[in-house]
Amino acid sequence: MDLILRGVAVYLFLLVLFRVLGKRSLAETTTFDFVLLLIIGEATQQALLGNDFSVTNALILITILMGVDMIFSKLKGQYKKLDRLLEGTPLILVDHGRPLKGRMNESHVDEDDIMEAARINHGLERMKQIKYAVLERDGTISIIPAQE
Amino acid sequence: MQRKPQIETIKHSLDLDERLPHKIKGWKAQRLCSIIVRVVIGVTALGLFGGGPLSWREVKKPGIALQYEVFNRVDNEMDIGLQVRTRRPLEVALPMRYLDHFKVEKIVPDAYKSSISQGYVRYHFNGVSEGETIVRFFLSPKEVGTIEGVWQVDQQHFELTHFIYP
Repeated sequence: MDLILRGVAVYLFLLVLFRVLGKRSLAETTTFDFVLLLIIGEATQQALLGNDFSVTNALILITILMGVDMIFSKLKGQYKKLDRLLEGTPLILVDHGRPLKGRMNESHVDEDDIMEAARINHGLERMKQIKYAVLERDGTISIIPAQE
Repeated sequence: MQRKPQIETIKHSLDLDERLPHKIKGWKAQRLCSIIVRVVIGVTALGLFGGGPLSWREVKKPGIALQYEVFNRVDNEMDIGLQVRTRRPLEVALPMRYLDHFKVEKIVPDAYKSSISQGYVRYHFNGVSEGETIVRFFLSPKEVGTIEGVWQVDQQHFELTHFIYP
């Protein structure tokens, strides 16, 4: 029972924390972000396993974590509200070449991020060439070019 | 100070479930949580989860000072220190019910004698010639929650209260 409680508590804590930290923090994972994730993994290991480092304990814990994740995936599929709460919704950041500063400010995205996505995906050179830029649920920026 | 830009409302031709009010609520929640994160870091630095000025307590009675940690975590060793002005042998009695919640890691210096009587574990130490005996108990909490106990040091009572986090 203790193992289940530990697994669920750590899963929910990480879920809330990463949701609260915002999408941009994980969307563009830098080398340092990766190192940070490894450190978080190390820090949670002790809390999850306690003093029992047996293979059985590790296997049970993995099963619990996968099980909780599976339950959440099912619930997200069934309840749209929960899905929106946990995964968020997409957000338009550029409207017909006009950067929407208020929205960009709140989502911690700047014009350089948008232009980078525009260059990489469509080879665009200027903001005016963008019809819409959308911050997607997974944190990526998708670009819809304006028609010439 | 620069004014924060307004959140723009737009009409678009995309088949997109944007839900701006939901987003705005999410941003407000993020701001609130970022404050909570800062508060948690602050109180941790101050010792609310152990190991800081908020966590340490000192109880003084004539000739005896006892320092202990109020906040700690399960399995995290804590240090309880005693300073006693005495030249004669010293007796420190810990309630057995209190000790049930802890694992005694070590006691420095070692007691020359220990015994159990009347629900107490009694440790006996030699007094030192300089007149100040220092004894340190290193205990690891085994359970979560509030732990209370009354220590007896040279017939004087010291009430200790700990809060142990998971």
